[in-house]
Amino acid sequence: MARGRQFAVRGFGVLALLLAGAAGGGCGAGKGLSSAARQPGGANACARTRPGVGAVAYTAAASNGKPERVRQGAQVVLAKLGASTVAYVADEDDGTIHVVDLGSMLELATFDAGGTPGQMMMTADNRLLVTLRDKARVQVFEPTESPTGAMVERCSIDTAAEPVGLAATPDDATLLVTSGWGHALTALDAGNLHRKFQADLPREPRSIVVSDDGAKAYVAHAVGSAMSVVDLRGDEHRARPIPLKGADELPKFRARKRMVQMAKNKRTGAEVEGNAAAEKRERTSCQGFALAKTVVPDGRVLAPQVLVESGDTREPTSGYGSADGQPSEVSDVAVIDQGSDSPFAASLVVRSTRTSPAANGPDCLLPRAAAVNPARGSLFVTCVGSDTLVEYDAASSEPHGSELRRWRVASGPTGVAIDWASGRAVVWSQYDRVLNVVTLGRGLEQELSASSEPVVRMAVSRRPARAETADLALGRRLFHASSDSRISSDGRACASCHPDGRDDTITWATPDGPRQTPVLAGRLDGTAPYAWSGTGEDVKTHLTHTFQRLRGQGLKGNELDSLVAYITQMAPPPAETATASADRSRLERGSQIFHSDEAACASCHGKNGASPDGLKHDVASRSSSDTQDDFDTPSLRFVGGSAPYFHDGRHASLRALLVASDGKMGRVSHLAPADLDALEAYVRSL
Amino acid sequence: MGRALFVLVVASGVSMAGVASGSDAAAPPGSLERASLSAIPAASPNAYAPAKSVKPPARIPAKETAAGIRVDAQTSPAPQLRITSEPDAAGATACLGLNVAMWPLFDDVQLSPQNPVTFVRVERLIEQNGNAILTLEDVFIDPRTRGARSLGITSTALKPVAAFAADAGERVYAYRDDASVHLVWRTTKQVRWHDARGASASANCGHGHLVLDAKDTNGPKSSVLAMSSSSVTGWSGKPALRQYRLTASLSKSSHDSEPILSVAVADSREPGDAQAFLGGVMSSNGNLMPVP
Repeated sequence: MARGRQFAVRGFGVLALLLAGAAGGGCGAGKGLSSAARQPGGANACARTRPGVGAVAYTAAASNGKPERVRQGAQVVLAKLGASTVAYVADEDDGTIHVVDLGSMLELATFDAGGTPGQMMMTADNRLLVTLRDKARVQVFEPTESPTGAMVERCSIDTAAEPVGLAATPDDATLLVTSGWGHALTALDAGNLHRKFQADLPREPRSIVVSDDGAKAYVAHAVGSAMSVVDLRGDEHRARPIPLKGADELPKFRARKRMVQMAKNKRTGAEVEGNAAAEKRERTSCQGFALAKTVVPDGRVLAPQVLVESGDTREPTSGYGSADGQPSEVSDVAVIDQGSDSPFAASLVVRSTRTSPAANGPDCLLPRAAAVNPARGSLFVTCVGSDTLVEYDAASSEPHGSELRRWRVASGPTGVAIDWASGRAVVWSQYDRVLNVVTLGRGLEQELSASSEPVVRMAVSRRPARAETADLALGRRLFHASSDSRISSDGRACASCHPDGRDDTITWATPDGPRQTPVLAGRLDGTAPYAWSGTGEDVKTHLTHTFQRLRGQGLKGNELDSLVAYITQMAPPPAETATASADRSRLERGSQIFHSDEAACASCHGKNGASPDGLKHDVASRSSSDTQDDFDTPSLRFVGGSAPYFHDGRHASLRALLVASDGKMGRVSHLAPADLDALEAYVRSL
Repeated sequence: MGRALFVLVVASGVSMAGVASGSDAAAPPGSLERASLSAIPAASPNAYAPAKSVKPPARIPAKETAAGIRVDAQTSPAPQLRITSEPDAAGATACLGLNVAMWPLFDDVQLSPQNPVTFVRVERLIEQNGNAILTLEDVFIDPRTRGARSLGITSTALKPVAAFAADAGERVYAYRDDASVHLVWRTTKQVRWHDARGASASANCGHGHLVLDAKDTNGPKSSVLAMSSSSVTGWSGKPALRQYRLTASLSKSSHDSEPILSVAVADSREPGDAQAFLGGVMSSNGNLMPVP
């Protein structure tokens, strides 16, 4: 990453090309913060200095007839600028905010976001909040008198690493921020922006919605088969999981076939389980980036996601995942009852009638943004990879089975906002850097006219690009290409298993045995060979191998080179820097242990865990279905945020791994509890 | 559930042209209408003993007949009886089924001459002057004598809840009974659908009939995948069949005081266009088959 100009490429869609020193510093490391006021010094230190001017939050009459403001973050935020409706667009690649007049489709202004913007949201007093994923802070902008809608930076608020999602409570008293890598939900007093509390969350939180009564926050997770619900009232703000695993309902003939297969499986002893597993097959869930909630009927949270069937890890398979012909991943929209915090069972069922490819086009395997149109009672979801905007019946108990319409949009749709009053959806396509305005229609006549020219596209301005950009842009598209037979035969994209270039936490059945998905972003440089079995001497070779196992036809030439370039340059997760002296001293002690001859961690994983020895070792971890005893030494970079661990994901935590591996992979039994804590903390910090 | 009120939520696809909102007037597509399901008529109380609660007679004399029901003998390919209905005044035939609870509907029913007395339900969707009713007639057929005995006939007023813009703009109607919400719609020829449990059924008579279980409302949902036989020109220039889809769900969250019925209609504006729906028919295993 140390270059004349810095590249940061996020799997999620961030292709940040920042000039060194521009926008306040480098990428990914959370350093180089701007000199702007970081924390408000008093109750009103971040309040507006120019009240009553500039853009105001978009409102539209809700079901009760009362104008409502959108209280959920997005990469597209609508506002009123005089009589015009404008869109504020968060451009991750350039680190800017674009202002586009939706009437004239002219770009009115572009201003610096101060980093890599995630979601944005307008507050009750029309300030614009922007999460900066690479800066561990939320930037606060204030409208000005400018007729272009440009805003100026007012202050910023520190958060846990990689802030992404934003939301506000219905009373506008509390602002909420999720931090992806920092796995936290931060609650801020909307008045003075002081922190109210911070709740620890499971891995990779993304979007937030607040319950209608303001008592709870629902948080989507990109990985982990669950969403979180956090109580906002009272003193306890612990996150509770809402499991979102799904199940296939198999047709009887398939169920019988599966039972026969399982009965033949002498290793698994599945004869006992066969009957129970025959009618329903469990699927984990993944790709929880977006959330929305219904308006009519109210009380339901809608969670676009993907249901994953990763195969029976007790038996080697012919590829990655099950080989029974069913798609490994299918789209889904989970419906959660706000009252009981439980999902509608029907929303998590994959009917036997839809396990074949979706009848109406490519399946939405990389859902990235969602919004509800209360005027119509429908849910809009943007799908990266298939590059579509899909409309579902939001009132259905099974929205994914009630697709109403879909539109093709420009590449990389990562944001959507609904202009209820004008009957249009505004979609931001990050990869093409295009704003799509989709006419939804409000009557039959408009519906018909909309069908002929439903999508108007406008390319936004950009900072000067470099020659490499084209290759990286192509690589990013290929990384996210779903339903591309060159990548896989069942629609899976690279980003299906590596959301944001990281891992899906899933252990897949493979020809070699169970294999836990590794993190890619920031972990490939200097860590060859690749794959747990160490069979990929370089990234290109390993990719070719991966296409085969996904039963894809493969990529060649410039396309393969571009994909390799993108994967190897993806922005690493942001590092967390210890600030307290106690933390620093503990990390120093942990480092001593890590590099000591007794613990012997560094003897294989290298200095700071970042330069593995490139060898395979037998660490007594072979499982019953593994075809080998020894495994490639992995890099430990970012290991703290990539649980579970080992090639088969057998260890849920670093502590469990350290303790269980004693004597097989280094030694820790001689360590005092405080030293073991220090070692764990150090490894977590790598 | 009894006769508890429902809230009706109707969302539409590109072609929906009508929703229930307390009147029969079609609301514009793209709108969201809510109405108490009490606006949807309850099934008329049976004026006769339901067939399922009546013990079939051992024998029905040959001379006994049921009006509008024909029992014809066929010899090819094998000896059998073919049960059909007489066309009504508009020329529409009825849909026949062998089971009250399930609705695999056909334009005829075939029975072996050796069968004992068999129950047949006969449904007729009658649309007239903007109104619609569904008549239900339960008939016992004795294949050995070709005798037929009607247990009674009842008619239920239907409420239009949605419509397709494609083809002739067929409407989707609804009524309810104690245990279910019924959706009925005119179809030109053949439909196939899948219920909430993945079972598939089909009809090749004049209408489709979908039943939503109203007892279990924590997420049950039925869906229909159907095909009309209208011949239109596809993108390839070859004749293609327009495929449409009707989905319906009945659900109740803890916020809802009563179950929510949601009906969505979508069809292919451009037959054969993969952006909308693939031109094809849904096979019994759920896979799309190419249009011949």
